[in-house]
Amino acid sequence: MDSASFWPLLSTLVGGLATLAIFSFLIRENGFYRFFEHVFIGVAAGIGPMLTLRDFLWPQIIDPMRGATITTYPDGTLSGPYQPLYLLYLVPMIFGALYYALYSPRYAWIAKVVIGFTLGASGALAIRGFFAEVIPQLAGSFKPLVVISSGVFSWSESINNTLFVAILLLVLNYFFFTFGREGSLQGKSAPLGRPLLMVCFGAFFGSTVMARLALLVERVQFLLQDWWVAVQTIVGLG
Amino acid sequence: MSAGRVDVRARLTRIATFLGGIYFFFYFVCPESMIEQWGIQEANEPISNGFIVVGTMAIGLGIINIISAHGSKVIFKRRGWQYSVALLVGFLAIITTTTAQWIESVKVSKRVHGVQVIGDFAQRIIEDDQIVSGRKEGIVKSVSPAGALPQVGARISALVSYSNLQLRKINSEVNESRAMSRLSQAESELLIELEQASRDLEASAIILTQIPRDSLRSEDEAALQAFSQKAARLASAFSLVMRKNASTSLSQRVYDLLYNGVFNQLGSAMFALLGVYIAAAAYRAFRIRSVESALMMIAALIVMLGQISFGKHLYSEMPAICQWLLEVPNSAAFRAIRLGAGVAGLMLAIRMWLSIESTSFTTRNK
Amino acid sequence: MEPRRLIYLLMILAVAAPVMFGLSQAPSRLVSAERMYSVVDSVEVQPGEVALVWLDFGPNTVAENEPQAVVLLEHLFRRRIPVILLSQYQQAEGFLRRIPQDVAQRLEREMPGQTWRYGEAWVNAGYKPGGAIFIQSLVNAPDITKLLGRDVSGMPISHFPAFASVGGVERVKIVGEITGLVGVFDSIVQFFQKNGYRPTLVHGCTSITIPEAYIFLDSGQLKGLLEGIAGAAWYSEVLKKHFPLSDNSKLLVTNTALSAAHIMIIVLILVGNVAAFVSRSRRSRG
Repeated sequence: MDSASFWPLLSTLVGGLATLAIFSFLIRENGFYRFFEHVFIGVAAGIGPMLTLRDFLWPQIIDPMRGATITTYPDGTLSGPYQPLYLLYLVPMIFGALYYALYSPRYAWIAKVVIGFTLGASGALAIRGFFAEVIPQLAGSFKPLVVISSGVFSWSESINNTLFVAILLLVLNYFFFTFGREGSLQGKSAPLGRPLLMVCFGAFFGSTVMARLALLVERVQFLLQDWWVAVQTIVGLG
Repeated sequence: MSAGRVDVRARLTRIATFLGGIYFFFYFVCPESMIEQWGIQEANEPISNGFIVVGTMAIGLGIINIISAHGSKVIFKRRGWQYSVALLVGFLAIITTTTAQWIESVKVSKRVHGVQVIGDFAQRIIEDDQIVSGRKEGIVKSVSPAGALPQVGARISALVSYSNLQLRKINSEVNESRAMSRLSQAESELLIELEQASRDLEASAIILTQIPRDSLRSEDEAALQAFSQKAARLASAFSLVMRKNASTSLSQRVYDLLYNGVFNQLGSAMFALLGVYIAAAAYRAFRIRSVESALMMIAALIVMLGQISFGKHLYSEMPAICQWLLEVPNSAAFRAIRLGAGVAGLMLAIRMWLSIESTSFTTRNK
Repeated sequence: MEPRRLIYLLMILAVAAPVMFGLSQAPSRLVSAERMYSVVDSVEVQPGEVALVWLDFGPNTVAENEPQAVVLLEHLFRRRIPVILLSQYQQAEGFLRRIPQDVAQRLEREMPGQTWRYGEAWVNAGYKPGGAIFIQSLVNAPDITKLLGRDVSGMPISHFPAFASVGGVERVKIVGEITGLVGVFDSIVQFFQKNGYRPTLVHGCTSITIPEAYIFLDSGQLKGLLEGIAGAAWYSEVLKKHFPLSDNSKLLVTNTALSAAHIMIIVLILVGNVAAFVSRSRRSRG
C-alpha cells in the first residue's frame, strides 16, 4: 500500500473506532468511551490557540512588527521601509496580557479592566449591529394588507400579509408587560399570542429533531460506507 | 480592603469599558466623509487588529487551566487520572503536529516567495523608473540600505541572474520529483506546466540583457512587463507544485490524521448521540396534553414532513404547507420575539458600555 | 432489552437500512433552495470580482453544513466565480482545506481537460478571529485581499492572479455563509455592508436555525437559504437538472435515510401518545 492511500485509510479506521467508542455510551458509560471523550477535549482545546497563533497573531501582528513582510529584492533594495508604528501592537498585547492577573489573588482585579474593555467594545458593536439588523426587519414588517398585482387583487398575498401583521402584533402584545394590561383591549388580547407562539415553537421543535437526526445519519453513513470499506480493505476482502 | 481603593479600581474598570466602546461607536455614527478626511478609514485595520489582539491574548488562559486541572490530576493520581493522561496527550499531540505542519508550510511559502520575487521585482523596477523619470506621480516605494537606488541596468542584471538561479533550482527540483516518486497524472501535468513556464521565462530574460543601463525606453518597459507576467505564471505553477508536495508531507499527514481521523470523527459522534436520545424523548416525553401542545405538535409534524422526501408521498402539498407555515406564522411570531430580544439586547449593550449594568465590576473587590 | 435501548436500536436500524441498501428517493422541493440557485446563477461577476464564502462550522454540524458547502461551491466553481474561503470558527480549519479540493476534483473528473485549481478557482484565507470586529474591518478595507494577507499556506493572497486586483468590498458580489451558529450569521447580516452596499447574501443553515433564518429571507437581508440536508439535496437536484453529469447520489441516500429517521420519530411520538392515552384512561376508569 502506498503512502497516498495509507494515511486516508488509517484516518478512516481510527475515525470508525472513535465513533464506535462514543456510541458505546448508548449501552453504558465505559472506559473506552471516556478515553476517547478525553482525547476529543484535549484535541479541541489545542486547536483554538494554535490556529489563532498561526492564522492571525503571527502573520498579521508579529510579522509586520518584526518587518518580515518586507521583501529584500535581488539587488539588495527593500520593498518598503520598516514601519515602526507596527510596534504599537505591543500596547494591546501587553494590555491583553493583563488577563493573566487572574492568577494572582492580589491583582486579579486588573483582569477586570481588560474584561471591561472587551465588553465595552462588544457593547458598542452591538449598538451598531442592532440598527443594521433590526431596521430592515421593521421595514419588512410593514406589509401592504391589500395586494394588487398587475391590476388584479391578490387574495392569497393579501390574506398572508394580513395574517403576518396580525400574528406579529399579537405576539408582540403578548410580551408587553409594561403597563395597562388589566381590563384593556391590549390585556384581553394578550393570551391570543400564546397559541401563535406555540406554532412557532412547534416549527422550532420539528427543526431541532431534523438537525439532531442529520448528525446521526452522517455517522451511520460514515460507519457503513467509509469505515466498513476500510475494514474490508485491511482484512483483504475489499 | 478600603472603600477608596475599591472605588479607584471600579472607576478604572468603568473607564476601560467606556474606552473600549468609544472607537467603534464613533466610527459608526460619524459620517463617511469625516472618517475619510481624518484618515480613520486607513487606520481602521490596525486599530481593529489591536482590539482583536487584546481578545486573543486570552488564549493562554485555557491552556493554563487545562494543564493545571488535568496535570494535577495525573501528578496526584486522583480518580480517573488515566483519562487526564489521554486528554493531555491529545492536547500535546495537536499542538506538536500543528506546529510541525506550520513550520513546513512556512518553509514552502518562503521557497515560493523566492520565486514570486522575480515577477514582483520586475514590476517594481518599472514602477520605480516611471516615478524617478517623472512619467508617473508618486513616491518611490523601494528603499536602498545604501542610500540611492541602483541604476536600472544594475537592477535588471541582478534580476536576470537571480531569475536564472531560481530557474536552475526549479529544474533540479523537478528532476528530483520525477526520480523520487511515481507521479500521478495531475502531478505530471503540473510539472510539465512548470517546465514550460521556466523555458518561457528563460527566453524572455535574454531580451532583458539588452536593456541600456540608465533608464527604461517604452519597448524595454514592455519587455520587462512581459517578463514580469511570465514570472507570475511561473510562480503560480511553482506554488501549485509545492502545495501538492506539502500536502503529502509527513507533518501534514499526521495533522490530517489527528484532525480528520480523531477530532472530526469524535466531534460528529458526540453530537450524533443526540439523534438517538431524541428518539427516546419522542417516545417518552412528547405528549399532547393540551390544545397548545397539540398546536405545537402539528406545526412540528408539518415542518418535519414538509422537508423530508417521504412527506410529499403522504400528501403532495406537504412541502408547500411547510413553506407557508415557515413563511407566515413562524416568521411573524419569530420576528416579534427577535424584535423584543433586539431591543433588550440594545439596552443591555448600552448599559454594559456605560457600566450601568453590572455591580460585579464596581463594588466587589475580588 | 430495556425499552430505552430498544428505541436506540430501532432508530439506528431505521437510519442504517437506506444506507445499507442504497435507497434513494427524490427530495422534497424546497422553494428557498430553488431561489438560492437562481440567485447564485444570476449574480453578475466581472473579472477581478469574487465570491466570499464563510465556512463557519465544525464537526458538530458538519452533517448538514458540509453538503451545503459542497453544492454552493460546486455552483460557484461551475460558474467560474473565484471564491475566497474563510472562517470565523476555528474548528472549520479542515473543511476549508478539504471541501473545495473535493469539489474541484469531482468537477475535473466530470469534465476532463478542464481544471479548477487552488489560486485560480479558490483561495483559503483560513481562520479569522475577532468576529464582528474583523468583519467591519474587512468591509471597510480599501483592498480586501491585502487585509486578508496570506492564505493558510503563508502565501500572499494578492499573488494569485485571480485575486490580485479585488479592491474593496464592492468587488465582492456574493457572500455565502454556511453555519449553524446564529451569532456568527447575525454578525454577517449586521456588519457585512458598507455605505449602503450589501452584497448578495446566501445562507446554508442547520435545521435547528431554519425558523430564525426565515425572518431574514422575508426582510430581504437574505437572498437565498439552504435548509439543512433537505435544502442541500434539493439544490443538488436543481444543479443536476442543469448539469446532468453532476453526481448527487450519495446526498440523496443521506436525505432518504433522514426521511426514514423522521418516520421512525413520528411513529415513536404517535405510539408514545397512544400508550399515554391508554394508560390515562385505564387509570381514570380504575
